[in-house]
Amino acid sequence: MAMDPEKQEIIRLLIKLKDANGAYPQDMLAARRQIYLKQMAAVGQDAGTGIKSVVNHAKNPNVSPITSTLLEGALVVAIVAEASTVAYIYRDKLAGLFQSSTVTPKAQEITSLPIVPTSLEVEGRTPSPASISTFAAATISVSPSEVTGVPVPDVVNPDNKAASQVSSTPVPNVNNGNHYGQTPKPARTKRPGSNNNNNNSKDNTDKNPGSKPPKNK
Amino acid sequence: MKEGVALLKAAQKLDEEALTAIFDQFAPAIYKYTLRLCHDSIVADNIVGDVFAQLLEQFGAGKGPRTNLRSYLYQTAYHLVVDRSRDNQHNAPLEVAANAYEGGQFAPTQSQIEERVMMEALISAMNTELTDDQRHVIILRFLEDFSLKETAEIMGKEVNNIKVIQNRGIAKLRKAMGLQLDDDW
Repeated sequence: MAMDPEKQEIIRLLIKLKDANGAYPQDMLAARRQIYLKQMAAVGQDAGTGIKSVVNHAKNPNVSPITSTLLEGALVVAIVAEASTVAYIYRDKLAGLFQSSTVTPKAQEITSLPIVPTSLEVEGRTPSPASISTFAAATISVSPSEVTGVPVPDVVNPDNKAASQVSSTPVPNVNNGNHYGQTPKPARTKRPGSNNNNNNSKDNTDKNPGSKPPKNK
Repeated sequence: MKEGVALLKAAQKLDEEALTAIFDQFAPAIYKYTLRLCHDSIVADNIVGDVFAQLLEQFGAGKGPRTNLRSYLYQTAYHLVVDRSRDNQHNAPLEVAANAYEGGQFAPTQSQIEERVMMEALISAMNTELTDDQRHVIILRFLEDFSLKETAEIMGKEVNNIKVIQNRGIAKLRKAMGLQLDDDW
């Protein structure tokens, strides 16, 4: 079959292109060859000792896949039995380790607030005993978790020492005077059922002589 | 130096001399083939390293080529190039062909200039007009001198399929070069 002359020309150019420059640079070739020789030595060592023997054993027809599966199962059972025996022997230590890792003591530090020279003295007023006692008895329990700012879920303290160490502000048992919020309520002068104001109540009392005490003339 | 099957047999036994001879014999050719495909000397060098590392790995595991070592090496390189070409863009290095015609030439004649223009057009068309399969077939068939059967083995295709790909590739090159030459002249 005669080939198209244009096609022949393309093929001629392609064959000429074969001789085009594209040689392996000598430095790159030398470096690649060194790497290859190192890999070759490593593969030779592996094949001489481990891999080759494994491959040969794998190719051994005497060892069937069923046998290898049984052997693998027996190895797994032996490993599990050994691990459980060790765990039984050292069960006390393991339990202690487990408890120590799960229950961590909550460090608490009790510090009293420093009594700050209050502005009351500066202003010439006498501080109330309530405020003094509050400052003196105020305690703050600081846990490490509060310092770091990471919220920690409540841990039940078996000794409940934290509750006994924390004291709240005592209720004043003395008359502190009429401080803000402690002013006694005025006595009630109005009857509960009456809707009238003071003037009306006065009028009602005037019009209702029966409720007034009798006059002594 | 051991040749052919004897070299392959010795290499399968991890004979250092045979393995070194294989590298010295095929590494430059694999580099050239890879460079034509990926157009990057660093990538080509890395692929050469990967090809021979895989070969050692296969020999170490008792596997590897049994008959045609050359086809096996080109096939490995071909797969590595295809894997890498999915991530990389192809750039046409015209200097690959241009350098071949500049070396040793003092004053190019008119015919040499015309031929150089045609070579550049051919390389450009190979890089821009052909599909990956067509480019591989053209390179393996005409630049690496593989037979149709060997090319089919390397690319994992049927021989008839390779023939079709080759004919379509040549037709595309002819058309592209004709158009380019018409533009130039």
